[in-house]
This record gives sequence, structure tokens and C-alpha cells, in this order.
Amino acid sequence: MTDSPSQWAHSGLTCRDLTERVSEYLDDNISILTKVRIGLHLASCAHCRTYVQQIDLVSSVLNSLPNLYPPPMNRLRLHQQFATRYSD
Amino acid sequence: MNADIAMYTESIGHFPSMSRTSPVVKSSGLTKAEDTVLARLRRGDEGAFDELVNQHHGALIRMAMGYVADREVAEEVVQDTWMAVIESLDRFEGRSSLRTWICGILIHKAKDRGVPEKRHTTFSAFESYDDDSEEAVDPSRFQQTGELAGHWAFPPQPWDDRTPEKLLASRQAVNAMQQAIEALPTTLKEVLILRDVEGVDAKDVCEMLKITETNLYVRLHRARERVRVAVETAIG
Ligand SMILES: [Zn+2]
Repeated sequence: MTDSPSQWAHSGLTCRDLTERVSEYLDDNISILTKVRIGLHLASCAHCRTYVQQIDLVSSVLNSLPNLYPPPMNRLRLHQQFATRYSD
Repeated sequence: MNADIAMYTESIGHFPSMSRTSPVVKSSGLTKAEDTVLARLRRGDEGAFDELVNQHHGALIRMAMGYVADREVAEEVVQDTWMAVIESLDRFEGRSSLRTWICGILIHKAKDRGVPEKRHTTFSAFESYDDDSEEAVDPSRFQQTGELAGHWAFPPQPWDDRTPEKLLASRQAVNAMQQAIEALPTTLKEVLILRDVEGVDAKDVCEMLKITETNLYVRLHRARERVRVAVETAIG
């Protein structure tokens, strides 16, 4: 779908306005009116659809970044403490 | 473990989950999985403790790095956090989720430990982030004048690798994301890590950081946009 400024204007939101609201939109934490306006804009604006997808993608992969672990000595001390505290 | 921390963190109440990704939260504030983990921990199950550490250590380190000078100090702060978790596990009432509680302890300890050290670094170079009215997306990417003012001038180009798996398989993209997170000022870093890395509910994040929901979304979105731009630059 190509951009259609007439429809995009119809939503009352510019791309610039929309991009600022994307995180609330993805959390579904916006008023129904704003949600409808964003929906209208997205229906006619491929660039903003791409933008929303990219923000959604980035936010959803952040919990899968390579893990970090404590240094072995630290872990050992934690284990000792845990064992002391919770062994019967 | 001092009583302050227990009160501070236990004061974070339960709110209905609004997250797209968070598992279902029961009325106690704990997910079923967390309930099981907590029971195992209290029985002294070292495997459960290891899993807990493995699951959260990275996020805690990344968050601590927002407050303290270097990785070494961050490890100490996180170690203190784990010690406090061990010490107070049996007093944890489960009114917030386990991860929210652990993150609350971390923030408390990191602030105690870190702020003065961080102030002495080049941190002030980021002062502008405190202005929550600043736009997330670089304004020069939009048309400035005419009928199309506010419309994209330099729109985002679709990424070929659109699935999470493919994005995570790209070493360039992962490095770019990690570096972008590391470079975030503390106020942006803490919301991004709590919300997206740890999956803490939006309302709990607001409560922990004493910010409004409007602030949260301004900061969260600015942080996500910086990470997005980093990926865009790396693979675009
Ligand atoms: Zn648009």
C-alpha cells in the first residue's frame, strides 16, 4: 500500500505525532480515540507501519539479549549464603 | 538487609497486568511460575536459586551500570542485591512479582552506592535527557514544511530479517542493541530494562521509579527509539 496523505490527514495525526505515541499504543495504554486515529493513520501509511513493527520487534527481543553471569567466586559465596540460610 | 529495603520494595503493590508479554499474574502478584520458584527457594533448592540468578543477573548488571562507574562496582551492587534477596526471601510476601521485588532492591542499592560516583563521570553530558518534552524521533527525519509537514522525509526502511529469532541471530544487531543500551542515560536505561528486559508491568515501573505514566512512556519510547536507530544503523 502506498502512502496516501489525504487519508493520513484524515486521521488528524501526522507521522511525527504518531511516532511519539507508539510505545503507549503497543501497550494498549491509550484512549480509544487515539487508538482509532493511530489505526486510521497506519492503514494508509506504510512507513509508520514499518516504524511500529520495528519498535515492537526491538522491544520484544530485549529480554533475549545474551545473558551475563556472576563471577564464579561471587556465585560460590551466594551459594554458601543460600545454603546457610535455608538448610534445615 | 535493612528494614527500609523490605518496606520500600514490599510497598509496590499489585496492579493488573497490561503487558503484551508478561505472563498472567495471579491476585497475589506472583505468576504461577514465580510461585513455584518461590516455594522451591524457600525449601532451600539450590538449583532454583541458580536459575533465578541466571535469569536476572544480566538485567541487574545492565541496570546497575546506569548508576555506578564501572562493571566491577556493578557486580558488587548486584552481589549485594542477591545477598539481600537471600536474606529476605522468607519475608517476601508476594504482593509484587518476584522480579519487581528484586529490581526494587537493586535500584535501592545502586542508588545508595552509585550516584556520587556517576556524577563524577561525564554523565552531565546527558543532561538534556531530563527534558521529557524532547521528541523521541529525530525531527529532521520528517518533512518540515508544506502540505506534507510532519510526514516522513527519511522513513525507516523495512528490515529483511523481521522475526525476533532472525534479529537475535545477527551478531551486528545484537552488539548494536547492547551498545545502545549501555550508552543510555540512567533515566532511559532504567525504564527500558525494567519494562522490556525484565518485563515489569508499566504501573509497577512507575511506582518503583516514582514517575507518572506519561513520563514512563516518553522515556521508554525514547530509549526504544535509540535502540531501534542503533539496529537500523547496524543492519540497515
Ligand atoms: Zn505515517
